[in-house]
Amino acid sequence: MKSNLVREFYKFRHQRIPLYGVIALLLLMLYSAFDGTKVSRLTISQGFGAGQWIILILITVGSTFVDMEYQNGTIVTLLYKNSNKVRIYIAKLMVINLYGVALLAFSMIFTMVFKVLLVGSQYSWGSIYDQRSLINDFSLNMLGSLIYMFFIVTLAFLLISLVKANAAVVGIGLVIVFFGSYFSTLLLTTVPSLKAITAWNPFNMIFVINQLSNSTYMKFTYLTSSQLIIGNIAYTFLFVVLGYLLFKKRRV
Amino acid sequence: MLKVSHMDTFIGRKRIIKDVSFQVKPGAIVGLIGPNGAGKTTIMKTILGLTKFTGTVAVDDQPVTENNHAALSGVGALIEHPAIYPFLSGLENLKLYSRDSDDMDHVINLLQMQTYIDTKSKDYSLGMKQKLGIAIAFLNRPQLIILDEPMNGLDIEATISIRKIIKQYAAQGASFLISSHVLGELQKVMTKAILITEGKIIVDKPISEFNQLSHQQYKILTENMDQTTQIFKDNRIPIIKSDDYLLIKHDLLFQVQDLLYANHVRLLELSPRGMSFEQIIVGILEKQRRQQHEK
Repeated sequence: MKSNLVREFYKFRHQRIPLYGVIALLLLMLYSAFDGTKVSRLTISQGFGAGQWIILILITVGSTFVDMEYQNGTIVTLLYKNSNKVRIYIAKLMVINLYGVALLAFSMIFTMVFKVLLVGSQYSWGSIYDQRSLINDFSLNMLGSLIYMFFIVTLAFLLISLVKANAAVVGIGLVIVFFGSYFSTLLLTTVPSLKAITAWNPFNMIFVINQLSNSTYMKFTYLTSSQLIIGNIAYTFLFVVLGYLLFKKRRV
Repeated sequence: MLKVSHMDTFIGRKRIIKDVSFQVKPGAIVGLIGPNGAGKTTIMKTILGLTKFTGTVAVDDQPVTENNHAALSGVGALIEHPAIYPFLSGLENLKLYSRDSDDMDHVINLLQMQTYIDTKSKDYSLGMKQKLGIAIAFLNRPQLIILDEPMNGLDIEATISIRKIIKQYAAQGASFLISSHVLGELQKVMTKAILITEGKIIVDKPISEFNQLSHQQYKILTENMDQTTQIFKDNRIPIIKSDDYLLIKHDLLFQVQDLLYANHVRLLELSPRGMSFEQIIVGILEKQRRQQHEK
């Protein structure tokens, strides 16, 4: 397992795409900062939209990281030199998840810098609003993003093993980020009698990013924050298992 | 040593490889030859545990399965295309799989890649990429080397160099399983040829036996080649057609002469003729097709 991890890290850090991911995150956060509206406390607590931007970047980087093995024909060498396909799969997952953690760390740094540059001391990190400090809300949003990150990375790996086309996976990722919450709300309002079940739909899981710091989201999700965390973890495990099975079965 | 016994390989529900058995002994260079789609690459992939199969594959008596590749630790392979990461240099690609830096340097020198080994492999020519793919297969002193179309994209110098290296490694005890469409090139190195069509082995012989076959042909030239061809066809005389003459096996010589005489076809030339390895293979394949058609 160690040699697989070392090999995957070696490949990952020699690519340009991780750097482009960080640059894209910076640009997208800048876009959120200068979208024409005044920077609010909510914008800062949400890390200038870092949660959703990181999801998009991770879907792209994650699916590319798997797909490149098939595109370059390197999957043959990778597979025959390893007895255990699960090690390859998990090593790749770990690399992308750690990259996600790094992106989160970058987003926190960018948020702090943007806050100083854009609003100065207008919103203090310790200022209390609705019984919570800004730093508390920000940390909870980042925690929510971290939990959803595992969900989305495993989903990206599952999708690239299923549809085998990187562009399609990125397209699906865009749909999830921009319309996922809409689909979930639609599902919940269409069949209100089944809310107890439909509330567990995968599109609803994206709300973990915001709900941990803002419990009013429960009005839309019909799940408590604990339930959302459990749902995300359960889906993550499900996606890992299904993704691995598809990866294992995929012809080379 | 590689031992393949009763291998059946399936893609989906379709049986692609049918009851294939053969051996590659230490120091042997075995050529896997056959038309496009015969199953050469699939056999190689199956040996590498990359496809679902029944039967057994063993390297040094250690079984290879789809989920257990422990026996492949001493195997190097180049399958279909050079497996390289374009964003890495040649050296970085080699480092990914190398267990010994001295051996890595040895392979680089052997394949004369020193001048471009630090360049990103995305900037390599087809031949340079192919050499790098071969270098990866030769890393860590493998005991069995599987090469699928190794001469693809190589210039004459590189082809000669690879041929020498293969012979050198084989002399040191490494075994080779090589597929190539360049039969003349393969003939220069291989010690045994396995001919495969439609997933089945139809010939598995030492190369010396093919060489004997190459002297057992007669060239026939008549005043009416169309009529001659038809006479042979009617009498089920196996022939190999060339541009302006026919070739027959030496044991049919008298029968052919009698037939031509009986049909009043004047013979212009009847001479013993050596056959190239390609012609022998084409002849075997044509015979196989004919037999299948008759069935």
